Amino acid sequence: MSAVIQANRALLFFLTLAVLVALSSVVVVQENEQVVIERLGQPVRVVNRFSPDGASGAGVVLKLPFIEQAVHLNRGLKGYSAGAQKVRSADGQDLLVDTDVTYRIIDPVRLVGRLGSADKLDRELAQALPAMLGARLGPLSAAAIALPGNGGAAQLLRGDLDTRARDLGVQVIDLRIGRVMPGEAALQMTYEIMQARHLREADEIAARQIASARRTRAEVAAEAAAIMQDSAGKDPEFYDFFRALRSYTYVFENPDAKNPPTIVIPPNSSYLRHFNGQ
Amino acid sequence: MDANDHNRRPEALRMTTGKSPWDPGDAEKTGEDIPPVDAAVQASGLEPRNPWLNQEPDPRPRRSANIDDIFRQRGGGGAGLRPRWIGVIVGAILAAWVAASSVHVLERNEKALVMTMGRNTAVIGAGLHFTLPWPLQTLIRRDLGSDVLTQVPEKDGETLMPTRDGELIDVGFQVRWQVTDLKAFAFNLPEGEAAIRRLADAQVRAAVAEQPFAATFDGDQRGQLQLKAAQRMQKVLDSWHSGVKVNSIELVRVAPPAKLADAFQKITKAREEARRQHDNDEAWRQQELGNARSEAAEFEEVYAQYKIAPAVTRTRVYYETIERILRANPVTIGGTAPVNAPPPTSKPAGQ
Repeated sequence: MSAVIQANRALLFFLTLAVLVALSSVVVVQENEQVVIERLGQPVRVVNRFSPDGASGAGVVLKLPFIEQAVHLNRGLKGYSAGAQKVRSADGQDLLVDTDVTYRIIDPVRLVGRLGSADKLDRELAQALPAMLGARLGPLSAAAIALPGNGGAAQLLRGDLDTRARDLGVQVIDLRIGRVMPGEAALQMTYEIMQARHLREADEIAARQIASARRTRAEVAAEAAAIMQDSAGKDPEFYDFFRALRSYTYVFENPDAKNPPTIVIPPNSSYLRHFNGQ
Repeated sequence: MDANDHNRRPEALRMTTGKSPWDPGDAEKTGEDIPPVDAAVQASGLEPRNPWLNQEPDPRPRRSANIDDIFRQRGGGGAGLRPRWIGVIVGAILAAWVAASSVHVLERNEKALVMTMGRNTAVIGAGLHFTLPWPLQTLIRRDLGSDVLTQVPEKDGETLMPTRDGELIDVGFQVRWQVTDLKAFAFNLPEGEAAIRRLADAQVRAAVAEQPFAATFDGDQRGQLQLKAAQRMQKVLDSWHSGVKVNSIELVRVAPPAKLADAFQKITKAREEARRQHDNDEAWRQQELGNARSEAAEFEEVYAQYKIAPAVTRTRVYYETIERILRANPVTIGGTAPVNAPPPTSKPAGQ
């Protein structure tokens, strides 16, 4: 084996060189990337540049070996989230705001010229954001900031950031305020307000129940009276007789009584009238 | 230093103990062939593929002949592999490679983009497909039939969102979505699920912020909230040409902030107590009205008889009642009646 290598040393050298040259003259461009070809640091052409009509330039392209370099950039939508930026709302609340940004590289040459690659792009855009957030969200109340569209601020912010981003060859497609949270002090306040409100709610529930119980009692009394009036009203005198007997039964014929009362019947009572032979 | 040594030692141990149980087993099966194969593959520059070669079951006759040959070779003295065996082994690896990366079976509902050196040259659906081997052609495949379920937040934990009335509510939800246009999804939304999660989060937060705490918490507006968030999300995804369809957003957890658990516990208790009281009140109402109705019915029954025979009924009812009472209690006869009471069966003086 080593003898073979020894014999063809020159051949192997040229073969390796040829492979290196070949590899360096070919760029594989994926559908979801756009590639800037630079010749000695100067951009000379863009492969598979984003176009709204969807035309594709992806595939294998040739370049001059060694003196031309390919810079690969994203072609699709890219997003990032700038987390927990401090904003003070018009009603004096300190808020922590997350901003979700979606963008697309539309001018690869400009981007590469400004930043060299896309690596620093997210950071570059994020750095521009805090000042814009303060300017656009500051005049709004905390509640408005959290609303969809953030009281129109999201659209304005998108415009602001887009203006800045165009300078980097980037179009900001979408910007929305995601998470909006009260800052530490405001958070405590929020909790206290909520606590008071919801404890009151518990009291209100109990009070409503008491009122409802009272209403039920009144309703039942009226309804029961109406029921009795319907039947007993036909003959109140007989009802008196009937009700009295019912009452005696209820009181004196009580199987659960521990000490049943001893009933004393005088011999001359009307019940014993016939017993006495009167 | 010390810590480093400490870290390294278990690894070293693992390596030695990991190797020893394997060695005898392999040696039994393939004997002295293992080292030559290693050497041969190393020489051919394909060292990383070696484990793959050993593991990949390959039914083709060419490979099995190769193995047979190796065994025969061992019988012959094990003097190492001659160059033509290297050729055979390399050939087998290449053949397996070609087969594995150029034959594709796509299930129902599956779609794949054929990428030829980065460029999308075809879209294929279910069935058997042949492509050029890797790296000339590759597939981006995806099941378009089934929904993807994305949980937000990804991990369990409190996700507080502000509501319109300045309160906070803990909301967890899931998004059901599916890819309708694989090409658009793959090339326009390279971040895929991450982008969808971010967008869904913002949309749900906005929808929660639109209504007061109670509307989300008590659930009467929840359906509308879910629908609204899903529709708005779809609109954005459409404007992005993302090839994604949002099927639904479902709130799976709606809770008060954990810090306020006590207060909400009180509400729950008050609500339960109120419900219990209310049930009691209703039961009492039914009982009272039932009593009234049964008394009325009883009266009606006796009254009907009274209408037919007033005096007789009056007398009969009187004695029936008194005898039941007297039988139920001890009775003493004695004393005197207070007044000369009127006979019980006669009407009061006023009537």
